[in-house]
Amino acid sequence: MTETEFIARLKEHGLVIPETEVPALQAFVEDLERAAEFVRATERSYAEEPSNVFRLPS
Amino acid sequence: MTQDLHFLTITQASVLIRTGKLSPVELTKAYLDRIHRLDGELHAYILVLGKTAMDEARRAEAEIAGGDWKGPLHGIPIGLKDIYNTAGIATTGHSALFKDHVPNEDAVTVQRLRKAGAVILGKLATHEFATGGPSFDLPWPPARNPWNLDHQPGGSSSGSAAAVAAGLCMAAMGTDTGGSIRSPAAWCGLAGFKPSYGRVSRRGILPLSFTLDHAGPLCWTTEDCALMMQALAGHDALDPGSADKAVPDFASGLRGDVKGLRVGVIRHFFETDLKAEDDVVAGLESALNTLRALGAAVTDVTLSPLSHYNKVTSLISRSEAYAIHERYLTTTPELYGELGRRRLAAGAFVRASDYVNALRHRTRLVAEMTAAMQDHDVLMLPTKHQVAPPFRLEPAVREPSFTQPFNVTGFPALSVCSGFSANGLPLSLQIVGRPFEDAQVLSTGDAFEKATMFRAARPAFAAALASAAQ
Repeated sequence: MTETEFIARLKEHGLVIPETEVPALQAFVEDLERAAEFVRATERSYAEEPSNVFRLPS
Repeated sequence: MTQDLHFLTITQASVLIRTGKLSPVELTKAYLDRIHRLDGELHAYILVLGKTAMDEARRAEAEIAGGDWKGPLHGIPIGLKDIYNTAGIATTGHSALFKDHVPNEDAVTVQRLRKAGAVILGKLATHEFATGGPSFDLPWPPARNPWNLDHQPGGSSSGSAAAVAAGLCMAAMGTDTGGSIRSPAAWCGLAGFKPSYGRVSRRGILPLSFTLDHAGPLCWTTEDCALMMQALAGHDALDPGSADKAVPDFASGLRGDVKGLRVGVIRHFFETDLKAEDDVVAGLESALNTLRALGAAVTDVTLSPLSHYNKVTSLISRSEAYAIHERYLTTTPELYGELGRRRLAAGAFVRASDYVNALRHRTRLVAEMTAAMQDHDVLMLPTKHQVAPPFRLEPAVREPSFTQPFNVTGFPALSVCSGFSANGLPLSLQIVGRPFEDAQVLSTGDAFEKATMFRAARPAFAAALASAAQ
């Protein structure tokens, strides 16, 4: 992603970041994207596990 | 008393207070005087609560004199990371954004500490909202490391660690989302304890990441951490992450020996995945030798690569932090410092499916670590891959971390001082236990500390500045 494209995406999110900070933020975001690629690449069975993030009070 | 009151441990001071040999008023005054003399260099405190602290100390003294001793924390002066809500007292998150934020009630942990009779000395510096730091563009300067003022104290509970190490409070509260209790404890030579997820309520603490945040103490010794935990631990029905588990007697759980303890060393984390500095590795090996000599059985254990833990933690923490800060970042971004703005804004770019799949992957990591602990009572590794570095520009990207694996899994983890580097900075040993076996972790750390001499050395800064001021 070019810096111009990155700034456009920032605007889509409603974020206004000083220009001088954009390269560092972009590097940080690209690093997060590599982390995301890791979880996307992990093989999972469709029925591997039920969702465990919602629980009714007991 | 004329000895250095500020270097007493809770264990020592509580006996003196209970028996009438030490006055909480005298003790609190000694700390306030010391803060006044030294904190201009250290910047550990954002706000010193001199008057209310003295009022609380006088009340404690009267209660104890009247036969109403509440326990080991009664009359003990402590500090709070400035993300712990305090009724009627500003809780800033070390940020211009919350400069005027005055909560109506105390955090549950603060309520529990007050009930135990602790004296609140003040609010302590933190990285902005427990993530953006160390920074020089915030309303208050960053805390410095008392072992060397040119070096970072670690974070985000930076002021908490600096204050305890320098003798500016007897104990402090920190929070730990990715290592923010253990990292500053490691770099400032303290015992810092991240309890099991769910063991200590987070209600009334400014959140950073709902499923990774933990609250816990930083103290000079592990034994003091155990005393703090006794007051802090317990179910809070209004914190959805809180666990309804019986609270053990942490202090009596300190057995004093590790004979027969099965220690698993996650060697690949610090030898290949993220190579630790030579001093750090040497310190760890020395610590393991000490434990072997005390009767522990030490073997290696293999988990997934460290990067797997770090990546899953980052996706979760950045997403959850952005969910909290989005409305402020999109309306008043100028009220954040640069580092806080960067680290919090990055979460906007994590896709929902990636966040959910990170949560799914997390269950695998928990299962893997649970399996690894079937044959081990505790796991060990360094807390940090390096000793405290000088203040410098922060790296643009995430740094790998030895602490995050125990946030994403929720296992209890303690950092203790395991010696000193060639340049006189503290080394650290991280001790990890099974969920809700917090007492085992504390017992191991306590036995290690008592078998070594590392609790005898205090930062030279304090002595040097104190003599200069006299």
